[in-house]
Amino acid sequence: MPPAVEVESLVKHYRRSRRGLNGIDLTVGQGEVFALLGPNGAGKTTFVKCLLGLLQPTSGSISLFGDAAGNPAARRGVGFVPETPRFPDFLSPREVLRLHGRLIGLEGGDLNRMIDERLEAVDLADAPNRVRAFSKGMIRRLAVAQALLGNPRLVVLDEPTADLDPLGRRSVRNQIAAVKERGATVILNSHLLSEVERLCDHVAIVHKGRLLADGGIDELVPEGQDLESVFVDLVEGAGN
Amino acid sequence: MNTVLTIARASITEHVRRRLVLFFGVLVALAAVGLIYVSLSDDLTSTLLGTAVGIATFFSLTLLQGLATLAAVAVSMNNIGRPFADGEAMLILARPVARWQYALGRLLGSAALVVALCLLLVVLLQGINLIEGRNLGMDLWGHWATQAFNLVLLVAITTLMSALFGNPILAAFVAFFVYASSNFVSTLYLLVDTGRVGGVPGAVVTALWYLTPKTLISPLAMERIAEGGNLVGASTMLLIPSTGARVAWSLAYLAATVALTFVLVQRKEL
Repeated sequence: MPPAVEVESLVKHYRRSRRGLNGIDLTVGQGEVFALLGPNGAGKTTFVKCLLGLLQPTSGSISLFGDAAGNPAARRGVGFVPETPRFPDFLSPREVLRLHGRLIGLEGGDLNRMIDERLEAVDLADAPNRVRAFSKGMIRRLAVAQALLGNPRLVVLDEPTADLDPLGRRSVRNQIAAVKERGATVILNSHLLSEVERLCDHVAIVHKGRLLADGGIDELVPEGQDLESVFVDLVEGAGN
Repeated sequence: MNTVLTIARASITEHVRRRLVLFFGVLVALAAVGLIYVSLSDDLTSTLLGTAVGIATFFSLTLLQGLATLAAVAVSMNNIGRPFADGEAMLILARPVARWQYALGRLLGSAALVVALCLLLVVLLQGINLIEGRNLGMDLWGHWATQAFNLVLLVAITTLMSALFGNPILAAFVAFFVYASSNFVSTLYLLVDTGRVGGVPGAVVTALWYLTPKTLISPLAMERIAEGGNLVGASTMLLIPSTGARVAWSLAYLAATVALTFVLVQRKEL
């Protein structure tokens, strides 16, 4: 069984910025809930974009379930919530989900049933008719709904609880737990370390494009400490 | 193909909901009312246009063509630049969708709207012809078929410019300039072709002539140019001797434009 994600010597340099990734090696097993942590500008979002083929790596390789990440077929069965989701604002939430459902090959009654379930799960069943009338929190919830459409085997969430109120955060947490329960893999970028500690079983910490730590929560966090203090020590220890 | 059609359908919905289709629909309706009024007023027709040209042909070749050109640019100026800049394309491309499929879907959505508009205009003009008691018959359909092709070419050029520039207004202006440059450059090329200009300027004009689009010209338009005594227009048309060569040239230009768009979209970072 190939790992869900396998990254080897991943390097990404931008033309106009010093930020990027400088040689990341990482493996995420199938069924794991994996968190990528790091301060702002560490390269977390760049990593996620490379993973999904949205950015072309400068060098190195990434595979999803054994297929090269640059190949669109590798993204079949992958759901994604970006840091700042944007939907066509002239569509209704139902139409957004229908568009995404069709792109992953769903049609007819199955698609309609899944759309109803997803909208219900994120409490958008009675939402306004157009996305343009949505608040940031509602857009974030719609993004979670589209990512989980069709029960993907890998879900990539970039700050999924930003802009959400406590009820929305709890709802997203419950959905991540449900994804984990059905055996799918989750990759989570989050600044909320307590959330990560509660949900994840595998954590990596990046800083300035380099991997500082990679392992199970139990391995990285010694008895009597919490993830936040380990994170701060590692990042401050790495210096500027 | 399903993926491309799904994206094309979303693109059509976008233009319908953003009221672009409504805007051009209202303009066409106003033009229809105006044309019917003019065609029923014999005195006005002869005063404004002269009966020799015929109002249907006149409007078909000028005002409504201008309207359709404007519509083609309007429905394609946001095809690539905006969704990439604001991140809307990111969620689509995170699906099992190749970038060329995304670009082709956006382009096809705009092209479908432009072809539908041409169809609406030809039906409208046919109706006015009947009111006028004239029958241009297949000439009118042939004319608007060539117009539809030319406008699809304009949609492709605008989509390419949208991939090149982030700003839709800039993309629209440059696309229109490239599209409209054909006649001007062909006129300059006449000077090279007849040996009046040579050397470096001649080479530059020749290069420009190869780079500018060659649009199709319908028999109806040729007739009008002949009737109007537009010698420059008539002579630039003669630079490509056969209709077949012009069709081949236009198709090649369209294919090259679409291919270049795919390359730019492939290299675009999100």
